[in-house]
Amino acid sequence: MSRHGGNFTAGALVGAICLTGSLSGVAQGTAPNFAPDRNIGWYAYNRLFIPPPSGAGPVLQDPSRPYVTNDEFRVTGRQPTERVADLDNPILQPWAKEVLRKRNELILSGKRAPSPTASCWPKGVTAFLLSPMTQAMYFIQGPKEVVMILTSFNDVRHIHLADKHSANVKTSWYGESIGHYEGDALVVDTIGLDDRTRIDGFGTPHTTQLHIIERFHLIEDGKVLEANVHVEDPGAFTMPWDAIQRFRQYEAAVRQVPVERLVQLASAPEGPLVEMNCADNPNSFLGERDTIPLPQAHAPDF
Amino acid sequence: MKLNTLGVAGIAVVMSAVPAFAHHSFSMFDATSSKTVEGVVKEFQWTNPHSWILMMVSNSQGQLEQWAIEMGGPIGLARQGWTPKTLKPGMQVKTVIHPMRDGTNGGQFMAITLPDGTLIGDVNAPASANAGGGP
Repeated sequence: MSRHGGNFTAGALVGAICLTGSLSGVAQGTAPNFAPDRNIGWYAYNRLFIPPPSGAGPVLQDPSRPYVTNDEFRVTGRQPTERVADLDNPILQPWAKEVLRKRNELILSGKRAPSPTASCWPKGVTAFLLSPMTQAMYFIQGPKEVVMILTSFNDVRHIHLADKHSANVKTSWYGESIGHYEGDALVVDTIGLDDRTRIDGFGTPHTTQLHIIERFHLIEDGKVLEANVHVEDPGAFTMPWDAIQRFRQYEAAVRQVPVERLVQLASAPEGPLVEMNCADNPNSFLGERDTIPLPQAHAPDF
Repeated sequence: MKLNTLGVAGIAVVMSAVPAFAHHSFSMFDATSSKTVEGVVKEFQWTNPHSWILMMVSNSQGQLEQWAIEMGGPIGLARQGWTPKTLKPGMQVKTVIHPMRDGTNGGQFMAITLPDGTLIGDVNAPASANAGGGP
Protein backbone atom coordinates (compact mmCIF):
# COMPACT_ATOMS: atom_id res chain seq x y z
CA MET A 1 0.00 0.00 0.00
CA SER A 2 1.32 3.37 -0.92
CA ARG A 3 1.48 5.76 1.98
CA HIS A 4 2.84 9.14 1.12
CA GLY A 5 4.88 10.39 4.02
CA GLY A 6 5.16 14.11 4.65
CA ASN A 7 3.74 16.75 2.39
CA PHE A 8 3.91 17.17 -1.29
CA THR A 9 5.09 20.69 -1.78
CA ALA A 10 7.97 20.06 -4.09
CA GLY A 11 6.12 17.65 -6.31
CA ALA A 12 3.11 19.89 -6.39
CA LEU A 13 5.03 22.90 -7.49
CA VAL A 14 6.85 20.97 -10.17
CA GLY A 15 3.53 19.63 -11.33
CA ALA A 16 2.04 23.08 -11.29
CA ILE A 17 4.80 24.44 -13.45
CA CYS A 18 4.40 21.60 -15.92
CA LEU A 19 0.67 22.16 -16.15
CA THR A 20 0.91 25.89 -16.60
CA GLY A 21 2.01 25.41 -20.16
CA SER A 22 -1.19 23.55 -20.90
CA LEU A 23 -3.64 26.08 -19.57
CA SER A 24 -4.73 27.18 -23.02
CA GLY A 25 -6.62 23.94 -23.28
CA VAL A 26 -8.58 24.56 -20.13
CA ALA A 27 -12.23 25.34 -19.81
CA GLN A 28 -13.38 24.86 -23.35
CA GLY A 29 -17.05 25.45 -23.96
CA THR A 30 -19.04 25.78 -20.79
CA ALA A 31 -16.51 24.10 -18.55
CA PRO A 32 -15.82 26.27 -15.53
CA ASN A 33 -12.53 28.06 -15.16
CA PHE A 34 -11.60 28.15 -11.49
CA ALA A 35 -8.31 29.90 -12.14
CA PRO A 36 -8.70 32.68 -14.71
CA ASP A 37 -5.33 33.94 -13.57
CA ARG A 38 -2.65 32.60 -11.31
CA ASN A 39 -3.60 34.81 -8.40
CA ILE A 40 -7.11 33.49 -8.02
CA GLY A 41 -7.33 31.59 -4.78
CA TRP A 42 -10.42 30.39 -2.98
CA TYR A 43 -10.98 31.00 0.72
CA ALA A 44 -13.33 28.71 2.62
CA TYR A 45 -16.42 30.16 4.25
CA ASN A 46 -16.09 28.08 7.35
CA ARG A 47 -14.36 25.10 8.95
CA LEU A 48 -17.58 23.14 9.17
CA PHE A 49 -19.56 21.72 6.28
CA ILE A 50 -22.84 23.37 5.44
CA PRO A 51 -25.69 20.84 5.68
CA PRO A 52 -27.79 20.17 2.58
CA PRO A 53 -31.28 21.71 2.32
CA SER A 54 -32.75 18.29 3.08
CA GLY A 55 -31.65 14.74 3.76
CA ALA A 56 -28.76 13.27 5.68
CA GLY A 57 -25.96 15.70 6.38
CA PRO A 58 -22.51 16.00 7.92
CA VAL A 59 -21.56 15.87 11.56
CA LEU A 60 -22.05 19.34 13.01
CA GLN A 61 -21.30 21.13 16.25
CA ASP A 62 -23.24 20.18 19.35
CA PRO A 63 -25.81 22.99 19.36
CA SER A 64 -25.50 23.36 23.13
CA ARG A 65 -21.81 24.21 22.83
CA PRO A 66 -21.20 27.02 20.34
CA TYR A 67 -18.08 26.71 18.25
CA VAL A 68 -15.92 29.82 17.97
CA THR A 69 -13.30 29.27 15.33
CA ASN A 70 -9.88 30.84 15.19
CA ASP A 71 -11.18 32.83 12.24
CA GLU A 72 -14.02 34.25 14.27
CA PHE A 73 -11.58 35.09 17.04
CA ARG A 74 -9.44 36.95 14.54
CA VAL A 75 -12.41 39.03 13.51
CA THR A 76 -14.34 39.51 16.74
CA GLY A 77 -11.92 38.75 19.55
CA ARG A 78 -14.28 36.17 21.04
CA GLN A 79 -12.72 33.35 23.02
CA PRO A 80 -12.12 30.43 20.64
CA THR A 81 -13.69 27.13 21.56
CA GLU A 82 -13.16 23.55 20.44
CA ARG A 83 -15.30 21.52 18.11
CA VAL A 84 -17.70 19.26 20.00
CA ALA A 85 -19.53 16.85 17.73
CA ASP A 86 -23.30 16.45 17.76
CA LEU A 87 -23.59 12.73 18.48
CA ASP A 88 -27.25 12.62 17.54
CA ASN A 89 -26.46 12.61 13.83
CA PRO A 90 -28.03 9.39 12.48
CA ILE A 91 -25.35 8.89 9.82
CA LEU A 92 -22.90 7.52 12.40
CA GLN A 93 -22.40 3.81 12.89
CA PRO A 94 -21.93 2.90 16.57
CA TRP A 95 -18.15 2.57 16.35
CA ALA A 96 -17.81 5.90 14.57
CA LYS A 97 -20.07 7.53 17.13
CA GLU A 98 -17.90 6.09 19.90
CA VAL A 99 -14.79 7.65 18.34
CA LEU A 100 -16.48 11.03 18.41
CA ARG A 101 -17.85 10.48 21.92
CA LYS A 102 -14.37 9.82 23.25
CA ARG A 103 -13.02 12.96 21.61
CA ASN A 104 -15.92 14.99 22.96
CA GLU A 105 -15.22 13.60 26.42
CA LEU A 106 -11.58 14.62 26.20
CA ILE A 107 -12.48 18.14 25.11
CA LEU A 108 -15.18 18.56 27.72
CA SER A 109 -12.77 17.44 30.45
CA GLY A 110 -10.63 20.42 29.56
CA LYS A 111 -7.91 18.50 27.74
CA ARG A 112 -6.63 19.04 24.23
CA ALA A 113 -7.53 16.44 21.66
CA PRO A 114 -4.63 15.22 19.52
CA SER A 115 -4.89 16.61 16.03
CA PRO A 116 -3.50 14.74 13.03
CA THR A 117 -3.21 18.05 11.18
CA ALA A 118 -1.11 19.50 13.99
CA SER A 119 1.22 16.55 13.47
CA CYS A 120 1.52 17.30 9.77
CA TRP A 121 -0.70 14.50 8.52
CA PRO A 122 -2.27 15.14 5.12
CA LYS A 123 -5.88 16.19 5.48
CA GLY A 124 -7.62 13.80 3.13
CA VAL A 125 -10.22 14.71 0.55
CA THR A 126 -13.10 16.01 2.66
CA ALA A 127 -11.10 17.83 5.31
CA PHE A 128 -9.16 19.47 2.46
CA LEU A 129 -12.28 21.56 1.92
CA LEU A 130 -12.45 22.75 5.52
CA SER A 131 -9.29 24.77 5.94
CA PRO A 132 -9.26 28.21 7.53
CA MET A 133 -10.41 31.35 5.78
CA THR A 134 -6.81 32.53 5.80
CA GLN A 135 -5.45 29.71 3.68
CA ALA A 136 -6.48 29.74 0.07
CA MET A 137 -7.07 26.81 -2.26
CA TYR A 138 -5.75 27.08 -5.81
CA PHE A 139 -6.72 25.27 -8.98
CA ILE A 140 -4.57 24.43 -11.95
CA GLN A 141 -6.70 23.06 -14.77
CA GLY A 142 -4.94 21.14 -17.49
CA PRO A 143 -6.29 18.99 -20.33
CA LYS A 144 -5.53 15.74 -18.54
CA GLU A 145 -5.41 16.70 -14.93
CA VAL A 146 -6.73 19.20 -12.43
CA VAL A 147 -4.49 19.99 -9.50
CA MET A 148 -5.80 21.49 -6.29
CA ILE A 149 -3.28 23.04 -3.94
CA LEU A 150 -4.01 24.19 -0.44
CA THR A 151 -1.90 26.90 1.11
CA SER A 152 -2.28 25.14 4.41
CA PHE A 153 0.78 22.87 4.52
CA ASN A 154 0.74 22.85 0.70
CA ASP A 155 -1.43 19.75 0.56
CA VAL A 156 -2.14 18.72 -3.02
CA ARG A 157 -4.87 16.78 -4.77
CA HIS A 158 -4.50 15.36 -8.28
CA ILE A 159 -7.69 14.82 -10.27
CA HIS A 160 -7.18 12.79 -13.40
CA LEU A 161 -9.60 13.67 -16.17
CA ALA A 162 -10.57 10.10 -16.96
CA ASP A 163 -13.78 8.10 -17.01
CA LYS A 164 -12.62 5.01 -15.11
CA HIS A 165 -10.73 4.30 -11.95
CA SER A 166 -7.65 2.11 -12.08
CA ALA A 167 -8.23 -1.62 -11.90
CA ASN A 168 -6.44 -1.94 -8.59
CA VAL A 169 -6.51 1.27 -6.62
CA LYS A 170 -4.01 1.39 -3.80
CA THR A 171 -4.97 3.40 -0.78
CA SER A 172 -3.19 6.68 -0.17
CA TRP A 173 -3.72 9.93 1.72
CA TYR A 174 -5.69 11.44 -1.17
CA GLY A 175 -6.80 8.26 -2.88
CA GLU A 176 -7.48 8.15 -6.59
CA SER A 177 -9.57 10.99 -7.98
CA ILE A 178 -10.98 10.95 -11.46
CA GLY A 179 -12.95 13.82 -12.88
CA HIS A 180 -14.84 15.22 -15.82
CA TYR A 181 -16.61 18.42 -16.74
CA GLU A 182 -20.37 18.18 -16.70
CA GLY A 183 -22.03 21.37 -17.85
CA ASP A 184 -20.78 24.13 -15.57
CA ALA A 185 -19.35 21.72 -13.00
CA LEU A 186 -16.20 19.75 -12.39
CA VAL A 187 -17.31 16.38 -11.07
CA VAL A 188 -14.73 14.47 -9.05
CA ASP A 189 -15.02 10.84 -7.97
CA THR A 190 -12.58 9.62 -5.33
CA ILE A 191 -11.88 6.19 -3.85
CA GLY A 192 -8.87 4.48 -2.29
CA LEU A 193 -8.54 6.73 0.72
CA ASP A 194 -6.26 5.88 3.59
CA ASP A 195 -8.37 5.39 6.70
CA ARG A 196 -5.94 7.40 8.80
CA THR A 197 -7.39 10.64 7.53
CA ARG A 198 -10.48 12.20 9.07
CA ILE A 199 -13.68 13.44 7.48
CA ASP A 200 -13.64 16.74 9.36
CA GLY A 201 -12.30 18.64 12.32
CA PHE A 202 -14.48 16.68 14.71
CA GLY A 203 -12.33 13.68 13.91
CA THR A 204 -15.15 11.79 12.20
CA PRO A 205 -13.53 8.54 11.10
CA HIS A 206 -13.97 6.62 7.87
CA THR A 207 -12.82 3.34 6.37
CA THR A 208 -11.06 2.54 3.12
CA GLN A 209 -14.53 2.03 1.62
CA LEU A 210 -15.02 5.78 1.61
CA HIS A 211 -16.35 7.01 -1.73
CA ILE A 212 -16.72 10.73 -2.37
CA ILE A 213 -18.30 12.56 -5.29
CA GLU A 214 -17.76 16.30 -5.46
CA ARG A 215 -19.29 18.84 -7.82
CA PHE A 216 -17.35 22.08 -8.01
CA HIS A 217 -19.13 24.95 -9.71
CA LEU A 218 -19.22 28.74 -9.67
CA ILE A 219 -22.18 30.69 -8.36
CA GLU A 220 -22.97 34.37 -7.80
CA ASP A 221 -21.49 35.48 -11.13
CA GLY A 222 -18.33 33.51 -10.55
CA LYS A 223 -17.52 35.18 -7.25
CA VAL A 224 -18.26 32.10 -5.16
CA LEU A 225 -17.09 28.53 -5.64
CA GLU A 226 -19.45 25.90 -4.32
CA ALA A 227 -18.57 22.29 -3.65
CA ASN A 228 -21.44 19.84 -3.32
CA VAL A 229 -20.10 16.78 -1.59
CA HIS A 230 -21.69 13.33 -1.58
CA VAL A 231 -20.25 10.81 0.83
CA GLU A 232 -20.72 7.06 1.09
CA ASP A 233 -18.92 4.66 3.39
CA PRO A 234 -20.76 1.49 4.39
CA GLY A 235 -17.98 0.81 6.87
CA ALA A 236 -18.53 3.97 8.91
CA PHE A 237 -21.88 5.51 8.05
CA THR A 238 -25.41 4.16 8.17
CA MET A 239 -26.40 5.98 5.01
CA PRO A 240 -25.02 8.20 2.27
CA TRP A 241 -24.97 11.87 3.19
CA ASP A 242 -24.36 15.20 1.54
CA ALA A 243 -22.62 18.42 2.46
CA ILE A 244 -21.78 21.80 1.00
CA GLN A 245 -18.76 24.06 1.24
CA ARG A 246 -18.39 27.50 -0.32
CA PHE A 247 -15.30 29.56 -1.05
CA ARG A 248 -14.75 33.26 -1.68
CA GLN A 249 -12.13 34.94 -3.79
CA TYR A 250 -9.57 37.16 -2.10
CA GLU A 251 -11.44 40.44 -2.42
CA ALA A 252 -14.54 38.96 -0.83
CA ALA A 253 -12.52 37.27 1.88
CA VAL A 254 -10.78 40.46 2.99
CA ARG A 255 -14.13 42.19 3.18
CA GLN A 256 -14.85 39.90 6.12
CA VAL A 257 -12.09 41.45 8.16
CA PRO A 258 -9.84 44.50 7.81
CA VAL A 259 -6.83 43.06 6.05
CA GLU A 260 -4.42 45.14 8.10
CA ARG A 261 -5.54 43.07 11.06
CA LEU A 262 -5.15 39.83 9.23
CA VAL A 263 -1.79 40.13 7.62
CA GLN A 264 -1.55 36.44 7.00
CA LEU A 265 -4.31 36.56 4.42
CA ALA A 266 -2.37 35.97 1.24
CA SER A 267 -2.78 38.96 -1.02
CA ALA A 268 -2.81 38.85 -4.77
CA PRO A 269 0.45 40.76 -5.26
CA GLU A 270 2.19 38.26 -3.03
CA GLY A 271 0.38 35.24 -4.38
CA PRO A 272 -0.36 32.89 -5.75
CA LEU A 273 1.03 30.42 -3.28
CA VAL A 274 3.11 30.86 -0.19
CA GLU A 275 5.37 28.23 1.28
CA MET A 276 4.03 26.60 4.38
CA ASN A 277 5.85 23.48 5.40
CA CYS A 278 4.33 21.96 8.50
CA ALA A 279 7.27 19.72 9.25
CA ASP A 280 9.60 22.73 9.40
CA ASN A 281 8.89 22.91 13.12
CA PRO A 282 6.04 20.77 14.37
CA ASN A 283 7.25 21.05 17.93
CA SER A 284 5.05 22.41 20.64
CA PHE A 285 6.37 24.06 23.75
CA LEU A 286 2.95 24.26 25.33
CA GLY A 287 2.15 20.88 26.72
CA GLU A 288 0.93 17.56 25.48
CA ARG A 289 -0.57 18.68 22.21
CA ASP A 290 1.46 16.77 19.67
CA THR A 291 0.84 13.25 20.77
CA ILE A 292 0.40 11.84 17.28
CA PRO A 293 3.72 11.05 15.61
CA LEU A 294 4.65 12.66 12.33
CA PRO A 295 3.96 10.44 9.32
CA GLN A 296 7.08 8.85 7.93
CA ALA A 297 7.65 6.85 4.79
CA HIS A 298 9.99 3.90 5.07
CA ALA A 299 10.27 3.53 1.33
CA PRO A 300 9.92 5.95 -1.56
CA ASP A 301 6.74 5.91 -3.62
CA PHE A 302 8.64 5.81 -6.89
CA MET B 1 9.45 38.37 39.38
CA LYS B 2 8.13 40.62 36.68
CA LEU B 3 4.83 39.21 35.71
CA ASN B 4 2.16 41.80 35.59
CA THR B 5 -1.38 41.18 34.61
CA LEU B 6 -2.28 44.02 32.28
CA GLY B 7 -5.97 43.49 32.33
CA VAL B 8 -8.87 41.61 30.96
CA ALA B 9 -11.51 42.03 28.28
CA GLY B 10 -11.46 40.99 24.70
CA ILE B 11 -10.71 44.50 23.53
CA ALA B 12 -7.07 43.78 24.15
CA VAL B 13 -6.94 41.46 21.16
CA VAL B 14 -4.38 42.46 18.56
CA MET B 15 -5.41 41.05 15.24
CA SER B 16 -2.13 41.75 13.53
CA ALA B 17 -0.40 39.55 16.05
CA VAL B 18 -2.60 36.54 15.69
CA PRO B 19 -0.63 33.55 14.47
CA ALA B 20 -0.91 33.09 10.77
CA PHE B 21 -0.95 29.36 10.41
CA ALA B 22 -3.19 28.13 13.10
CA HIS B 23 -3.10 24.40 12.71
CA HIS B 24 -4.61 24.04 16.13
CA SER B 25 -7.40 25.69 18.00
CA PHE B 26 -6.59 28.89 19.88
CA SER B 27 -8.93 27.72 22.62
CA MET B 28 -5.89 26.89 24.75
CA PHE B 29 -5.17 30.62 25.05
CA ASP B 30 -7.24 32.96 27.21
CA ALA B 31 -8.43 35.52 24.68
CA THR B 32 -10.10 37.53 27.41
CA SER B 33 -6.95 38.44 29.26
CA SER B 34 -3.46 39.61 28.61
CA LYS B 35 -0.27 39.23 30.58
CA THR B 36 3.07 40.97 30.42
CA VAL B 37 6.11 38.74 30.68
CA GLU B 38 9.58 40.24 31.12
CA GLY B 39 12.68 38.22 30.64
CA VAL B 40 15.64 37.34 28.50
CA VAL B 41 15.37 35.84 25.04
CA LYS B 42 16.76 32.32 25.03
CA GLU B 43 15.92 31.50 21.42
CA PHE B 44 13.89 32.87 18.53
CA GLN B 45 12.67 30.13 16.21
CA TRP B 46 11.80 31.59 12.79
CA THR B 47 9.85 28.60 11.55
CA ASN B 48 6.62 27.33 10.02
CA PRO B 49 3.94 26.73 10.96
CA HIS B 50 4.66 28.76 14.08
CA SER B 51 7.54 30.89 15.13
CA TRP B 52 8.44 30.81 18.79
CA ILE B 53 10.03 33.10 21.33
CA LEU B 54 11.61 31.12 24.15
CA MET B 55 12.29 33.34 27.14
CA MET B 56 13.83 32.80 30.55
CA VAL B 57 11.74 34.49 33.20
CA SER B 58 12.27 34.73 36.96
CA ASN B 59 9.51 33.18 39.04
CA SER B 60 8.36 34.29 42.48
CA GLN B 61 11.22 32.35 44.09
CA GLY B 62 13.76 34.02 41.87
CA GLN B 63 14.31 30.89 39.83
CA LEU B 64 14.49 31.08 36.07
CA GLU B 65 11.73 29.35 34.14
CA GLN B 66 11.25 28.98 30.42
CA TRP B 67 8.25 30.66 28.82
CA ALA B 68 7.18 29.81 25.28
CA ILE B 69 5.42 32.42 23.19
CA GLU B 70 3.69 31.13 20.09
CA MET B 71 3.65 33.38 17.03
CA GLY B 72 2.58 33.21 13.42
CA GLY B 73 4.67 31.82 10.62
CA PRO B 74 7.49 33.76 8.95
CA ILE B 75 5.35 35.07 6.09
CA GLY B 76 2.93 36.90 8.31
CA LEU B 77 5.69 38.10 10.60
CA ALA B 78 7.73 39.41 7.68
CA ARG B 79 4.73 41.44 6.54
CA GLN B 80 4.74 43.03 9.98
CA GLY B 81 8.40 43.95 9.68
CA TRP B 82 9.94 41.08 11.56
CA THR B 83 13.14 39.44 10.43
CA PRO B 84 14.86 36.31 11.71
CA LYS B 85 17.25 38.61 13.58
CA THR B 86 14.69 40.87 15.23
CA LEU B 87 15.30 38.92 18.41
CA LYS B 88 18.64 37.59 19.52
CA PRO B 89 19.57 35.46 22.52
CA GLY B 90 20.32 37.58 25.55
CA MET B 91 17.97 40.44 24.69
CA GLN B 92 15.92 41.76 27.60
CA VAL B 93 12.37 42.04 26.33
CA LYS B 94 8.85 42.57 27.54
CA THR B 95 6.15 40.58 25.78
CA VAL B 96 2.40 40.79 26.05
CA ILE B 97 0.52 37.56 25.54
CA HIS B 98 -2.80 35.86 25.80
CA PRO B 99 -1.76 33.42 28.53
CA MET B 100 -2.36 29.70 28.52
CA ARG B 101 -5.65 28.84 30.18
CA ASP B 102 -4.15 25.85 31.97
CA GLY B 103 -1.40 27.89 33.59
CA THR B 104 1.44 26.53 31.49
CA ASN B 105 4.30 29.01 31.11
CA GLY B 106 3.43 30.38 27.71
CA GLY B 107 0.86 31.98 25.52
CA GLN B 108 -0.11 33.59 22.27
CA PHE B 109 1.95 36.55 21.12
CA MET B 110 0.35 39.99 21.14
CA ALA B 111 3.18 42.54 21.37
CA ILE B 112 6.78 42.95 22.38
CA THR B 113 8.99 45.80 23.57
CA LEU B 114 12.59 45.52 22.44
CA PRO B 115 15.60 46.69 24.49
CA ASP B 116 15.71 50.00 22.61
CA GLY B 117 12.07 50.68 23.46
CA THR B 118 10.66 49.73 20.08
CA LEU B 119 7.16 48.33 20.41
CA ILE B 120 6.00 45.76 17.87
CA GLY B 121 2.28 45.15 18.02
CA ASP B 122 -0.50 47.18 19.60
CA VAL B 123 -2.13 45.85 22.73
CA ASN B 124 -4.83 48.50 22.59
CA ALA B 125 -6.12 47.68 19.13
CA PRO B 126 -9.83 47.03 19.36
CA ALA B 127 -11.36 43.82 18.18
CA SER B 128 -13.11 44.20 14.88
CA ALA B 129 -16.89 44.22 14.90
CA ASN B 130 -17.03 42.95 11.33
CA ALA B 131 -18.85 39.80 10.43
CA GLY B 132 -17.04 36.54 10.91
CA GLY B 133 -15.71 34.22 8.30
CA GLY B 134 -18.60 31.80 8.41
CA PRO B 135 -21.54 31.81 6.05
